[in-house]
Amino acid sequence: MAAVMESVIAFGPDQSLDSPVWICGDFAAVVERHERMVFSIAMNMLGRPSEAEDLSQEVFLQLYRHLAEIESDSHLLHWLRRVTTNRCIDHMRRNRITSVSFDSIPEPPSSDRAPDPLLPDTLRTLMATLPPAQRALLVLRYQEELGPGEIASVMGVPLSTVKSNLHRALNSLRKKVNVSSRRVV
Amino acid sequence: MDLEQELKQALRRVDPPEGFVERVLVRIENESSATVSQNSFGPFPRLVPRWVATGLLAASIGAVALGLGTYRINRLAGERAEGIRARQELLLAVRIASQKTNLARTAVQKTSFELR
Repeated sequence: MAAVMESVIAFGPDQSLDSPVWICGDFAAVVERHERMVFSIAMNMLGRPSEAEDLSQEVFLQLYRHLAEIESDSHLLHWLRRVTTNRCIDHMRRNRITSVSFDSIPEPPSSDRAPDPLLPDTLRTLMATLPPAQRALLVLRYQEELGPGEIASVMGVPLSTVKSNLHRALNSLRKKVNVSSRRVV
Repeated sequence: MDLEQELKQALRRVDPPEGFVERVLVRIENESSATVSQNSFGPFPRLVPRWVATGLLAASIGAVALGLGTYRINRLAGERAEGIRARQELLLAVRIASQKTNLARTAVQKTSFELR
């Protein structure tokens, strides 16, 4: 048991000779370096901390099994984003995490000029009403600050699809925010 | 309202719950232990490679099958020899009975001839 734990901490499943040279440290350090990104993608897509943590752990388990295939740090980053996003989309489709009642959305203040401390919460809740793929696009665009080309590569879809879906998602979100604001006035 | 700026603010990265790395390592450890126990073979895990154990098992099954086959062949051969012996005894008995019958017939014929 202890030996297994040591090998996990030391590198990965193939730690003896096949360990990728680009990993400057142990597997724990790899997890530590990317936990924030992976957990945030899951959290912003799923909206539930327990599910986000569970899914993030599974992503790192999968990384541990496929560590020998990772070629570089940038490849690792791309791999983690792709696997996390795809797993979140699958999870949402399987569990149908899409419908959110408008009543559960916090109401914004009546004045447009005043800063709205509840707006981030409102946006996150409204995002949950979007289809999984559109949610993933928004997370990759505004959390990870990726360009449309990079998003297309991560999600494995054509650039034109990314652009049109991003446009559609923003429009849809804008309308929902307006409807939500009007309910208060 | 600048929706894109607000989205960046709303979707900024957050820290996972405390102890996340440790929990990941424990899951990996558990999975590795499960894999080790799955790869172990019978009551002597990791003493012999799996292919050797599989080969030994196959050889044992082969030996038992060969023994059973030989036993069956020997049994059939024994039964056959017994049958031949029984046949020979039967033929001998028939032959003796036939000779006795011939003797009786000869005696009857001789007696009837003398009476005439």
